[in-house]
Amino acid sequence: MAALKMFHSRQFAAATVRSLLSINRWSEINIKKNDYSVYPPYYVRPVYKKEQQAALKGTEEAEHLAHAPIKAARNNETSSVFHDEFLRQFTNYIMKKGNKILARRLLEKSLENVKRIQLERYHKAEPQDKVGMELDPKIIMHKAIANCKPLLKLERIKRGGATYQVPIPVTDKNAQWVASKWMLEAARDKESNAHLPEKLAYELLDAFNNQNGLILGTCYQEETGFTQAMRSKSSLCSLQMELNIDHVNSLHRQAIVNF
Amino acid sequence: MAFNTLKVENFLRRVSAASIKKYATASEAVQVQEEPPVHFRTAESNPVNHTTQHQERFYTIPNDVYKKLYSGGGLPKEFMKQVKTFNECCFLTRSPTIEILSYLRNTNYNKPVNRYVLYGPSGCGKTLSMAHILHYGLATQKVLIHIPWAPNWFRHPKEVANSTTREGYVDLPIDAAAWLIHFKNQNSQLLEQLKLTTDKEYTWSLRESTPRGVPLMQLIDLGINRVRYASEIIIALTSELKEASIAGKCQTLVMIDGYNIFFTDRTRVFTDAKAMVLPDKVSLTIAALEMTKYDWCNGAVVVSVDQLAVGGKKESDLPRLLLGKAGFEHLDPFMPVSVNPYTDSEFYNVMDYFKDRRWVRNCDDEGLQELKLLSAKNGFKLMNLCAAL
Repeated sequence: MAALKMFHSRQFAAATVRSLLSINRWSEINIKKNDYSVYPPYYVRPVYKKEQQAALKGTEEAEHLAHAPIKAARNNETSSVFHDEFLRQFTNYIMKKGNKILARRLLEKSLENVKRIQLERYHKAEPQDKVGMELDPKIIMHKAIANCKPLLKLERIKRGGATYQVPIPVTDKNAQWVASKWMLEAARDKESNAHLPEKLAYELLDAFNNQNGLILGTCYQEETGFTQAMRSKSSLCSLQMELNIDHVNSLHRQAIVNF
Repeated sequence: MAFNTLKVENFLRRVSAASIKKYATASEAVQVQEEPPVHFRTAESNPVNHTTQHQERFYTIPNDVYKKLYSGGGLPKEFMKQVKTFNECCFLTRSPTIEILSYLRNTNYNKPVNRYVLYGPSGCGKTLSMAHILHYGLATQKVLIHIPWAPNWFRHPKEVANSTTREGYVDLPIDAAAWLIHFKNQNSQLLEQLKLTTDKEYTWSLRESTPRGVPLMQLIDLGINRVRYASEIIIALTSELKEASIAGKCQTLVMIDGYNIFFTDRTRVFTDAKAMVLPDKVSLTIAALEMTKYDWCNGAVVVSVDQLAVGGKKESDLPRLLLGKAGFEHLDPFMPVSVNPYTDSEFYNVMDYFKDRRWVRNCDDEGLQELKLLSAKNGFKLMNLCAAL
């Protein structure tokens, strides 16, 4: 009854009409086409890690966040002490057709296999060899991917009507993605009787020990394209994977000039 | 001053009599330290001596025992993997095991056999408790009739053949022969010592028979070599052992994991006409049920009932529901022993053991708390959660 009264009250009606007609209000909401998110765009992503929350404490951003509407955290974003951002990302790389449960299980199984292989070696090793043996599968995985990261990629550059493929440095994020992709390609290229977790475990351990075919740069498309480019230009012949980015930067600038 | 003496008295009260003896001037030999320095292990590897004193601690199974007892089954596959990774086989001494071991120690064996039924949620350690008790059986020179996982017979039979001697029954020849090999592995040494012989004459077919007074070993070998008769030989062997136990020639320990499968209404055993065969029409069931009756003495029966045995979820893991009316009445009266999730101190000991074996590293209190909550202190879940750490 009260609501009905309010609806009829002139004040309320005027307010509603004003708000509906106000141009400012529409521009505020800013409806985008093909945006299927359940959240309006002014919702912000949550900070779900305890360390990040602690780091935010007392800052200006934290004060801003305290009053901002926050989206719910995704299923794979937890404040668990065992949560690892890269592993979360890698699960998505493994995933096919949205089957994240399977992807997660495969990754967990791979890490388990890595650990089992290392542990068996550890328990059979002599006491002096045990020192410094890496047993943590997460650390092994991080290092393996770090070892596979490329420093350069080929970019098409137009000079005088002709396109040249020029090696340029890659960003860290891009390098991580490419390294993960290569790693998965290597793991998926297997005999029919081998399963991904076993093969991925071996690939990770090889990469960790710097014995991977991937690191030697022989069997991958990007890699091959890169090495070909290396060979074709004498000025870049001495370029190897070990070169640091700064050095490459100057060289690649030179290369563009040469082209 | 008075406060100090009180403190000393308190301290003396806490120190056990044994350790006072160690420091006494009269002791002549240097005592070897019995317990290893770590709190989660016990040096006592003989299950005969296991009491509440060793509860919640790990004991190591000697390698030869491990090979002898469990090479034909008896340990979960995941646990076997763990043994390989850890380079040792350790069991946690838990309260259900201690309970059953104390019963087995104090039973009057002239009375009809006691039946013990292990039950509890899956993943809490029924099979491992059985494995521990099996080790006790070996240590106390009992003939072991051990069926590692009975559902294998009815859910994944290797071969199904119509019985030639029993009308309407089917045999599982290959599974039966495999079990005979398992039995032989576990008991060959003991049977040689006991020199048991057959009490009756058995006729397998028109041409083949086993006369009276033949060593049981010969009977087992016949079953392994002539797979067709393996099922019948198991029935003969169990009844012979039963008779020998009643006569006091030996003591027998019957252990069956997943016992409730014998009373299920669904199997994957099919006849040539594609008709499903229920367990009571499989000849191996006769032997298993015969051994779990109470009409004999000088023995003990330990069985486990498991939700996983009958496939799918049942609404309860209690023996009455899993065994059904027929099974319950067959076993009645029995002693139910529940196998529960870890206690808090067990959980921390297990985690310390994992840390010792480097299965988990750098797991702080927060991590422990998280694992405890996620696993609900269920051993199997905990093992899986720790796998990728």
